[in-house]
Amino acid sequence: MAAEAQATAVGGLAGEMEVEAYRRLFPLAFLERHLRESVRPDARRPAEARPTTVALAAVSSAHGSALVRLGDTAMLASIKLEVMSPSGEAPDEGSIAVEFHMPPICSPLVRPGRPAEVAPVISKTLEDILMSSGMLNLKELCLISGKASWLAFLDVYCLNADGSLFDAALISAVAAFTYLEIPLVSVGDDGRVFTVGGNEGKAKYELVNREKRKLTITNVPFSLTCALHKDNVLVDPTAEEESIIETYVTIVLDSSDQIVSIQKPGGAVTSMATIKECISLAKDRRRKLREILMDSVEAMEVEQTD
Amino acid sequence: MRQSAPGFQRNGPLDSTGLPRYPSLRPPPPARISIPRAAVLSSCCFRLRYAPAAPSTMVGLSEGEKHFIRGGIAQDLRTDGRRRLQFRAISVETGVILQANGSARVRLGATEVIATVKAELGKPSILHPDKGKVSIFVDCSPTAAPMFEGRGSEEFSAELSVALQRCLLGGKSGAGAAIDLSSLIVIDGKVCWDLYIDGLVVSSDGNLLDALAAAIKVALSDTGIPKVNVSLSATTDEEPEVDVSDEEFLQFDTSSVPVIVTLMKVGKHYIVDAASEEESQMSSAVSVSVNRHGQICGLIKRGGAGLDPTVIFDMISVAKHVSQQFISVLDSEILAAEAAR
Amino acid sequence: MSAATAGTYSPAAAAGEKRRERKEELRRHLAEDADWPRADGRSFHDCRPALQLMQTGPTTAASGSAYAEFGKTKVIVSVFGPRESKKAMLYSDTGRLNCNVSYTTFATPIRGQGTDNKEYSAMLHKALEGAVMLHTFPKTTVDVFALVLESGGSDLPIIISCASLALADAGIMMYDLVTSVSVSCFGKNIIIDPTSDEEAWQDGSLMVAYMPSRKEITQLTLTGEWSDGKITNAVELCMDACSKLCDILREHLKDASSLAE
Repeated sequence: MAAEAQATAVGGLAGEMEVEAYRRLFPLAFLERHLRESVRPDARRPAEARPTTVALAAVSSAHGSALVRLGDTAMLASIKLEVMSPSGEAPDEGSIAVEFHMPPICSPLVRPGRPAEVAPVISKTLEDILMSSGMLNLKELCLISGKASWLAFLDVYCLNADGSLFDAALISAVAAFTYLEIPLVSVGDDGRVFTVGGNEGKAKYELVNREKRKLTITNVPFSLTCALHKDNVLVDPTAEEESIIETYVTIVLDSSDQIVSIQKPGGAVTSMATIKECISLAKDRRRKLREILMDSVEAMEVEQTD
Repeated sequence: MRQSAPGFQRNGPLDSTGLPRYPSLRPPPPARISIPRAAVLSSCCFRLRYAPAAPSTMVGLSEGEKHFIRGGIAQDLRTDGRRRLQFRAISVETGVILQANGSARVRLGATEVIATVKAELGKPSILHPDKGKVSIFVDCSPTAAPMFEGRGSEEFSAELSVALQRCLLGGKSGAGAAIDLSSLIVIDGKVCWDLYIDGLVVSSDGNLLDALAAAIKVALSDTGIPKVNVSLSATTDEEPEVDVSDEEFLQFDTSSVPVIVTLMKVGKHYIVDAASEEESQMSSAVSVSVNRHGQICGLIKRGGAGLDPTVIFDMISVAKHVSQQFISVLDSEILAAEAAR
Repeated sequence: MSAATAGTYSPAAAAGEKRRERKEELRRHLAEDADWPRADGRSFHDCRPALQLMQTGPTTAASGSAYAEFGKTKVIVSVFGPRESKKAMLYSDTGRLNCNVSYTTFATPIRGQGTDNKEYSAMLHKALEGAVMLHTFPKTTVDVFALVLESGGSDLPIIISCASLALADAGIMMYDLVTSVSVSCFGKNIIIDPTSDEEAWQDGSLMVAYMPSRKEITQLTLTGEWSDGKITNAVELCMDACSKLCDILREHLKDASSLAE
């Protein structure tokens, strides 16, 4: 095999070359050499995800926000609520608008005025997943039936792009919704809704949504992206791995391990067994992510009571 | 205006060259390399079309010409015979655009700009229900200079617009503004005048910002805002009925409108009203907007090179001094222009 | 509001109308009292703390980056390059500095469009170009991209200071670090490092970008009505704060490089 011959040829070279130069010149051989030892270039095991942290309420100008770090990938999701008149078909429902941004700061590949191609794809997928998983009950976003309801603008900004962007975006979106604080509002004489702040305001105006300050999030979707290379399944790939490997599977599971979505956009043919392996890895990952999210919510509540 | 400001003596005595001290007689350009004018222009057009940038850096001059300009400035005798702190002859014309509520054409040497003021009824913003709105935009005509062809003028127009907004619109609370925004209100929170001030650069030979600010000042003095009668039902919630008068106009009080003076630093000296050839020699410049009472209403440092703070303070005080003379010249020109109509 | 899409509006904007009187009162106090406590407890000539909140290296994908947090203002700046200039650019024997400033949609109280801020981009460029040794990277471009995560007042000065920290982190040669501080004026009082509430009602503003070791001002802007003496005071106040901020940045860079070793 030509590829193998090349691999051994560069393998011979490897002894004489600096590691960083070898990594840049022969990225595939470099990765395969690692995988033969069942380890990845960043010292992870193939089935090991990167350390993940969730920081809630990262931006005070938003109603709900979360900063998620997945290894070096950083994702900031934020929700701002605006008032709209509900549509005729669903007078007692609010709605959400999702946008995924890749500003030029996040990657050398993005430049001002030339947006990244993947951004609209992730935007659309994110919106589909949030709507179809049944995580949100849009009726909870209603203020006055037929008159006013909330439109939640979810904006997810990628601050540093180092692979598995969709996974990180979904975690941050879910976290932002979990910790969404709906402002207290009242209706003015002109029929417009305005926010009420302070105890003085609460006594002075008639409140519309005294009870409806938090959303009940029942079914939380989490995702796992696996990169498939020959027989190896690499969980949570970095940008470097993504640039070498062509086949990915992204699996989204809900709270009861039901499959919300499986995506495998092109790449090499993959056996059912491999897909099943990915699903079982995704199940483990979902449980882990749920714990991380719960911990960060608890930490936030402790901080608030202090 | 045709005298240098006191305290600013000419530097080198011209007599040493044996020439009489007549500004119209300039010393022969010893280092000037004779290049046909057309050749200089065409080479500069070529360069500019491909790399549009701040025009001040892009005038094609030979080393000899640059030396000549710098040397003249050091000796307080510029290439067109002016002193360092002397403006070019200014000419003012009002009412040049009939459709506008006020308009003016100002020429400073070969620089020619037109400013128009258009007033429209609008709705005040929620945050400032007791104020009208003013917006300023500048457009550079592609025929004004080679670098304004194609997309070259966009960046420069935007820079001029921002500079004028900064220098004329004052602070957020309205202090130092050229136009008192609360005088534009018709009905609190419901109807106000929106003023659209547009500047057009017709021909460019340097110092566009000062010329545009002067044109705006003249245009505002020419502006008549129609008198508005509000019917009484307007106090209720319904849309108020407004009757705009065709005959009665209110004049603006333009006494507080500042002028902008740009001081350009060439070598150790400052010059005002630089022509485009002189602008190409700029290391940095400070544009100061000053009103009649000598208060500074806006300031922008232009050019990337750093400046010593004491130099900036000095430039501010010189600009302040020059501006008072410029204001009085402009005022008499405005009176003459009104008398001529 | 123009920023909201048709048919929707922010309830906070509607409430803003009702809070106006309170702000007018605040403004009066700031203008007349010599030592009225500011909303965040600072005195007039106190900056927001910067010591722990300026960091290098948040964006690993960039050549250099920095994060700054002053009160509510949060800014990330990434520096890329020196890298190949755009194809359309002609040969140049000095390097190019390309600056871009954008806001997130949620940076301001009322949701914005998240578009580029051209004015700030140009100002950032002017503040930095005098400090960067452009001749050290001929033919290439250094890109300085700033994203304002949250706008809480004095945005531009913080972007400038943060950008010079990011340039240093990227190892771009500079004559000196550029730091920037702004002041607001209320009546006869001058307030340093204003918050966005204070900026919304100010009589005038003045911003200085300064290279403390070279004692040079790279950028100076001013709006509102000022007398000569007040300008001198304000500029000196800003320069003093810039020098202190520069010392903090310098210390931080030293710590970061000793950690890296």
